[in-house]
Amino acid sequence: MHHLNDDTLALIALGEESDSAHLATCPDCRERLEGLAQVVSAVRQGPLEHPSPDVWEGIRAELGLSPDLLPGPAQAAPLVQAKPKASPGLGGSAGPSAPPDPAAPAVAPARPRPLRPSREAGSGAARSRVGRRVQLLAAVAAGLVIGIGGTFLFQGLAPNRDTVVAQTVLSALPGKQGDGVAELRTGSDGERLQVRLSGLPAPDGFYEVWLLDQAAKRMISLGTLGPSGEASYPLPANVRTTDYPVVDVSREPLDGDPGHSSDSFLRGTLHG
Amino acid sequence: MSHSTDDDRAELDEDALADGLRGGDERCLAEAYRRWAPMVYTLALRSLRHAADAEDVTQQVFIAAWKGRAGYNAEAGSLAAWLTGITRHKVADRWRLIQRDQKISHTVGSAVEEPPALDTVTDGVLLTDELNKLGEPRRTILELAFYQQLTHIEIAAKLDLPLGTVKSHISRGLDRLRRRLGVNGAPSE
Repeated sequence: MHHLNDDTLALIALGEESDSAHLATCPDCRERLEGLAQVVSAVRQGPLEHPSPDVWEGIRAELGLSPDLLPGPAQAAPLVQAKPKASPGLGGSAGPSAPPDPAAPAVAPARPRPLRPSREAGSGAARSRVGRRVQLLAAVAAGLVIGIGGTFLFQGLAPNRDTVVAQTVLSALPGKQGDGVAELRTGSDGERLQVRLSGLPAPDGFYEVWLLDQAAKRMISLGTLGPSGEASYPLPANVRTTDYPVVDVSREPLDGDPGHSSDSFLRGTLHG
Repeated sequence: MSHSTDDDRAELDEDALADGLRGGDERCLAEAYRRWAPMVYTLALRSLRHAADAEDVTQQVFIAAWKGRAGYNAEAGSLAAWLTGITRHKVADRWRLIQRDQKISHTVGSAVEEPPALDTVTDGVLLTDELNKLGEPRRTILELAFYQQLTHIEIAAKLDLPLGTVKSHISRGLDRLRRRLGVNGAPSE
């Protein structure tokens, strides 16, 4: 008797494929499916939500931690980049003395902890704060996500519900590392390019995100990228990604030169 | 590059983070907060159902984690699992207060709220935390499958990836999360 393969079981667990006659007769496959189904139902409770910045302020004050200590990626960078293990010869150069990242996002300043309504007043869902991860998915996951429209933290993403217009996987150019995804989103404040990258080696300078035309002759700088690897850039209203369909991530030296370094790491094409 | 490399690197960083935390490095507490405050907060929110209560608990959890950092034992579980264990205790404490207040203030016959099953909620946040650690494009593929409930064919078209690649990311990603379910399983009270 042939057992169901992993791919098929996964699709059944996600509800994409229906039950097979085999499952009715095979306890082994049923057991494997139950494990996967448990994962699916657990994760489908929804993405994680973010507490308000007041919570960190409260912790910092209570423990008497240094006032400039922020829970943002700017702090994380030296800790993470100091680990040379992941990419010998590439990732180890920056180390603890890495320059401050120009793109490190500002964390909302401390403000007095607001008085909240008591437990009896209002529903929790309506008041819950929805974080960045929720926002990434909110537009299309509306059926699963509750409480859209709260504050947003850590990055200056627009708090509106937007929709994905185009999307591309960003792949490493020959000899380079990393990968990621770029999404062109449209919302009430216009178009934005949202990127989520991983596996880039620690830079001596910083990474910058660009839009290029097909010939890679003309280009528009969207902005620098912090160590979190995630960012969202507003597009100028008159820039059309059909004219500049290529998303490019370059490593830039700290030389003060605003031009492209020609040291591209990742690329992908929107509307490809 | 392989995605398992990304996943392994995340774990190595966690070891360094745990060492720094035990050694009293404030920056490591800040980093632990950055990484796991959403997990702690979401666990508290899904259990307590009120944002203000969940934020109070989140604050208590990280304060308790800092004060009790010497008690963290990496062999007993991940930092994430340790933090969810603390969260479950704080949530249970909070529920006791809520139910006591309700018993005092409610008229005879009105219902006292019952907390939801913590194990299910804990599994949910721990696995979502694992999902967030996956490398790309696996993480996005799984998110599209979980939350948008797209089929693998729709995901392949959306991301312009071969069908086989998408299927393989889905099944390997699910399997990785399933194995984490065993490793990180809800800590015993």
